[in-house]
Amino acid sequence: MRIRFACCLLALLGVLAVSAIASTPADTLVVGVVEEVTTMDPAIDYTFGSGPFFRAAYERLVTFNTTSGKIEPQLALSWDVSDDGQFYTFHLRKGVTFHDGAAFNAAAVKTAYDRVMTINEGPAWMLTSYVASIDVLDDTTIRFTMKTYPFVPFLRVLSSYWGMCIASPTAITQNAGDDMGKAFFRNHIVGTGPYKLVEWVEGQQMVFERFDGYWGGWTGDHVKRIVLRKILDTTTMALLLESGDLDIAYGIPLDELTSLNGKPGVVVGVHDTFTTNMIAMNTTKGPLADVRVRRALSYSFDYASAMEVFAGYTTPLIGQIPGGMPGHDDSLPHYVFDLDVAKQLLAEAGYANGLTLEYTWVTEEPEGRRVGVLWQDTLRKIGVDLKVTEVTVAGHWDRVSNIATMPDLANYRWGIDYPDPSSVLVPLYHGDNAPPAGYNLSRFADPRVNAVLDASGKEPDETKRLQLLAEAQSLLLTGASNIWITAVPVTVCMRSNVQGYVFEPAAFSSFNFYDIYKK
Amino acid sequence: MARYIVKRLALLTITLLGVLTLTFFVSHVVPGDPARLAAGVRAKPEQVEALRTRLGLDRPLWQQYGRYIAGVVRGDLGESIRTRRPVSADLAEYFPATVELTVFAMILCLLVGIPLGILSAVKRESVIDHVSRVASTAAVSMPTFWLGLLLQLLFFRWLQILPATGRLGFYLSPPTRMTGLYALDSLLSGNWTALGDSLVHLILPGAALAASSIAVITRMTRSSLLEILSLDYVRTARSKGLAEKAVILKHALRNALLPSLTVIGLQVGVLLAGAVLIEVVFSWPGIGLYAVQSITFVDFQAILGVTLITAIVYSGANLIVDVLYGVIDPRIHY
Repeated sequence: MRIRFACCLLALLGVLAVSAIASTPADTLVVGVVEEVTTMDPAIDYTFGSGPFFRAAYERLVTFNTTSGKIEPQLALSWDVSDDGQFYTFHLRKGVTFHDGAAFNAAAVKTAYDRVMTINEGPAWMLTSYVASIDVLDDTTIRFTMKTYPFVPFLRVLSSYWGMCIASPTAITQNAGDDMGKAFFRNHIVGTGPYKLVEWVEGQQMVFERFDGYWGGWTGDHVKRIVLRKILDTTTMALLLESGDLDIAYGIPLDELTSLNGKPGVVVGVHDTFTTNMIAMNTTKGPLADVRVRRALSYSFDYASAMEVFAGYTTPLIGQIPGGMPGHDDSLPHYVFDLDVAKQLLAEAGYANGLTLEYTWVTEEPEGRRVGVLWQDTLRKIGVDLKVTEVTVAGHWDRVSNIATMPDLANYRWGIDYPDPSSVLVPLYHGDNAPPAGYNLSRFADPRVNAVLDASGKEPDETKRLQLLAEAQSLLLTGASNIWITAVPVTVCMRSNVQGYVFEPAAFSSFNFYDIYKK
Repeated sequence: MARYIVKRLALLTITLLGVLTLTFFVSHVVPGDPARLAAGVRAKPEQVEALRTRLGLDRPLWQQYGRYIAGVVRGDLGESIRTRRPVSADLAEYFPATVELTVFAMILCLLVGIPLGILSAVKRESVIDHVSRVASTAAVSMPTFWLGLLLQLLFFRWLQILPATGRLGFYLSPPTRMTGLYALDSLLSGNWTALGDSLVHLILPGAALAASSIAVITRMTRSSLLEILSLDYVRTARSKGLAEKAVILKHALRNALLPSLTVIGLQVGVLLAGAVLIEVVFSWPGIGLYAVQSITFVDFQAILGVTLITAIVYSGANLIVDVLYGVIDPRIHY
């Protein structure tokens, strides 16, 4: 009896074993992602979770090449900009079809972008702030008339995948309903991209299959299917990658990488993004209204030790513009850790006997806690008592958007909207962009900075523009509105047979699926 | 009995109203501007205001409350600002996954907990009793998420016999949707591959979730059975010459199960609460996961929806337990 039972149990386990071990098929790429997907509508989504599927299935007029820093054609083959910067005319690629068979042409671009601007949610401001009208000149030519011009970064704005993905005009008109197609596009993707969505099991996975009609063709090495699996627990994700159940694991925290380092068949990748981590200092009230105190704090921050928080995978940020973006310059002056200078500056400002400051960090950005605790320790040596407070994302926004509740110091991250330095400097440091209008949390308002930033947005000459950006960064350093910590690294770990992946700091949560294949 | 149930259901309505009212006002005290979060922190102020008006968040709190309760009465739970669709659609999507996990865990509890409790009581101070005591203590004191990770490490990573996450392997599509319970749906549609796969996916999260409840039920069954076994009527039964099996299963167990039943009813709540952690560890797309995300997003309507459905299940389970008392113990009349 017992033996029979044991045999049955063994047989059952055997059956289970067969169904449990499923290393991924050769023509399928299985990617583990942590981010939540709540809508796939390009007119609404404004989250990092959309990177993977937007790039698999949708395309834009132009893309940003990280290596060259240049704008490259995607659905637009070429473009002309009028001398005054008022008109952008795009000559479109021919022979492109959408997943539903609709033809891609100038009218399609207009329909898609008009929809984004009419819905006017989330990312729409990137069009509505700059574009007065979009006109179809002929089947393959479309013209954007600008509201305010010149606005030099406009092509880079168009390379963002938020709001700029072009959806099928047939799908837009047929599913308009009474909500402009929001219900339809929440669950459906109808783009021109290399892969089309075949299944979305909410909260679990998305399955894409190769779109046979893709204009790029299918010669060369590509995968047939892409599966995006949502894995919330990153420890589990690492296990799945190790066992070969995932080809790519995105977003395993830095301090959990030790379990993967040196594992056979696993390649650990850590990359600096264009997202930066900073501490905003409240320049409007209290001791931090005095620039000497802000400078003292800038000298009191141990930049090198703070990198331990990022498991040593990154380096301190020089200037305000992250590395790899035009305008970033490693030779710019920057603050260094020097407690004597800090102490002296505090004494000059009348705080020789010390002071108490509140520092907040956001639950979802855990590096903020460790940065705060490390700093708290250092600050104690110069008589500054740092109160470290945790806030949720919602609580953070509540506090920083109101001048009365804004803490002395707020740790935060800023991810760019489009790959241009203006997407860092203008929302964070232009005087017009204090919350809720923008993200200038420190309410830093220096007319010279404003003037230089305004000028840099209008300067078509790249060399002159870079000079203006360098000037802006020096001025910001003097104003010491923030403590600039680092560019936030992300992890993209993969099986060693995955080839062709190129990391893009501007679109770090996405993948160049069309170029990825398995050996 | 029928009158009793009707009375209880009427009371339940009042309880639910109370729960909703409390949750409504408490969740509105929590810091955070839902319109701002829904529009995105980079949205322009006018976009935020437009969204606030559309969602009715610009009205006074009492008006929002009135509108919400009126909606609930009509069966409209409002729209989630995070997922941008009716909360009822979200619950229909995510709740079945939790139900499946909880029911599976409950079945494990009953199948393991009660027999193990009986065995420990009958073979008191035997090896099996000691082992079950140690195992119970360990299961109760171990954090659920940690046990989940341990099980993954053992059965997925080392033994490689059970999957670690999700409800189905990525190579399978969910079965035709009828109840939303994958195992049941695949059984009903005769999709045997999906049935096997979904059951296999249930084992680890189900076991991790059930562990502490199994322990509680085992200990409860053991102690109440021991108490009953020392009573006079059991001695009488034995002295009548009844087989020990009949004495225990027919005479003693029925009475011993009463306290266990109360515990089992309470465990429904424990399992639902534990599901939150287990769902995160096993990427199980259930209501726990949905609740966690809704709370971070100050998604009021979604939080209220989850609260409502959890309250209904919890009170429902208690009602069923009370009715079962009457069935098991003829002295109890309603």
